[in-house]
Amino acid sequence: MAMVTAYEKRIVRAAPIIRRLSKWRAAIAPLLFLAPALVGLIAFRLLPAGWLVQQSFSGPDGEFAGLDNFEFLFASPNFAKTMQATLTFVVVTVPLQTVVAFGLALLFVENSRVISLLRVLVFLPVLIPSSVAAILWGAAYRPQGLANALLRSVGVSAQPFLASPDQALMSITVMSSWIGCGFWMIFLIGGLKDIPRDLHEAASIDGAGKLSSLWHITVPLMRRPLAFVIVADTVAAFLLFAPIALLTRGGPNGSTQLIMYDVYQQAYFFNDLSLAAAEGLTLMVVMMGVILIQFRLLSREKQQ
Amino acid sequence: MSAVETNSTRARRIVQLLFGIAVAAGFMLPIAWLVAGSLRPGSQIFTSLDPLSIGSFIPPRPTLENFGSALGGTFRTGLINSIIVAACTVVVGLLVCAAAAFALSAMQWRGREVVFALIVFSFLVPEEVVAVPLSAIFARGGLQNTYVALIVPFVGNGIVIFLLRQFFLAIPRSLIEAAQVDGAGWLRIFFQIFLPLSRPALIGAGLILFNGQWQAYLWPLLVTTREDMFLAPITLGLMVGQYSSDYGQIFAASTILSLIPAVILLGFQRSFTDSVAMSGVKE
Repeated sequence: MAMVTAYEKRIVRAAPIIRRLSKWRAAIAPLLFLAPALVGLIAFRLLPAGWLVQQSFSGPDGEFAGLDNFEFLFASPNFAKTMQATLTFVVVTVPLQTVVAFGLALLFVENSRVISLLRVLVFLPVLIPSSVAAILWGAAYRPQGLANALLRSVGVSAQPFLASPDQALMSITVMSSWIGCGFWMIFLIGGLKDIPRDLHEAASIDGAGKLSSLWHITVPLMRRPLAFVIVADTVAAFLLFAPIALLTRGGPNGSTQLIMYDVYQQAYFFNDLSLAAAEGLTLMVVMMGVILIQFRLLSREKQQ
Repeated sequence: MSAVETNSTRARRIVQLLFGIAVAAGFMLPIAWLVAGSLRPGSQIFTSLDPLSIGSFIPPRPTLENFGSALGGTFRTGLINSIIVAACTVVVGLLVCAAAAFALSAMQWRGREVVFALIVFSFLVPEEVVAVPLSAIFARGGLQNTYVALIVPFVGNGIVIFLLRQFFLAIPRSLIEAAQVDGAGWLRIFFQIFLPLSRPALIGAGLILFNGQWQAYLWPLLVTTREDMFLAPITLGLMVGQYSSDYGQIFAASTILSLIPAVILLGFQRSFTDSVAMSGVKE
């Protein structure tokens, strides 16, 4: 009996410690589960982002240089050309891919066996690694390649494609649309399937044509998936790298000098990490600006 | 409905179907040319296009010679490295991301929302933009040309954590409570309840991790300088750069590089589209 009392006493004395310990364990457990991912995200995303900012305000020896890098960058004709090529590429590619992907989604939304098969065929290029796609299209764009063979078969004379400053950027756009459109199509098909069928039936009973029902019913109801596609495609277009590095290296005549390739060149050919960082930061700011404008425009339409 | 009307809808459907077939064929054409080219002598890849005919896309006497020579060269090293890097990233990445998603969904603790916001915030920093400063840090730390450099930065993936958390949130809390009553700790709940219940989400997440590594070009270009550490896309790029470009070999290597993800992705197609559909587009 006495022993039990002593044991009980010990438990009573230990209780606050055990409580504190189990409280501590409850607090530490989530941290242990989170730690590897959190360390990874901080070390390989957030810290390098901070380093990018710091580097972009530093001189070649690491000293603080204020806005020197940006002043140099914005005064450089090479950067002007890079910005022009990048913005042209984004402005042409994103609307083109969105419209084509929307058309593909409308064409392939049904679930019949044939349509499903066709949908898979259009999606196949998405599965091809971007480096392979670049090399394949590089071969297709050669003077004796597939693109010219197709043109020849409809009586059009041979085109220089990647070799011409007037056509190279457009050729890159066609290539990346071949990869991208099937991918964006999948998201838009998901959206189309959520639209109740009877809305279109009601519209057609009211005498609305196919086109007007598309414009007045489908498009407004597709705002969310369309907004997603536009924003995600904008990001992808701003960050395009592999095809430029593998095919044109910015040429001919700077016509495909897209910004990610220019950042890479600044860092690895000209060994100027500060300038590369300043350019990378500018890319982030411009990209965020464009996305913000897109959000504004898309949500304003909603209020109407 | 009158017979005239059904006839016109049928006609419209047939036109739509024919148009769809033409569009799909257009998208397939470069792939057909790629596969056909990998099966014919390199010298015929461009000559077979003149004139354009069915023979441009179906080689009359297919041969596997290109595959043999592609796999005999440096491309083989790249391919093996790519497989190792992608496989390790999928296994370790799934564990790391699922554990984080578990902490963010199954466990209740203060600051959870803040940490989740931090992870969503990391979406805003594109991998490409930080790649250049990050590779400079790796070079300074002597980590160039290592598997660690190729794998570790991609193990914690914000989007994968986000997707898995969405899935985990749908698992009923009563399951956790029942397990706790039975004396199960968090580790057991994680490994014996959450992971087995989340197979479809884990497959989708694994495909995202795999594809990210299989497609990677910029980062491997930045952190590898030695031929024995190159990944397949880099060695493929070098094959084109060499002045004696053998397009037979290049097309065979390209076909191998495309076939592997295609087989994996099409095999898991359902789970993949399901998890893509979950990524917050619909709500």
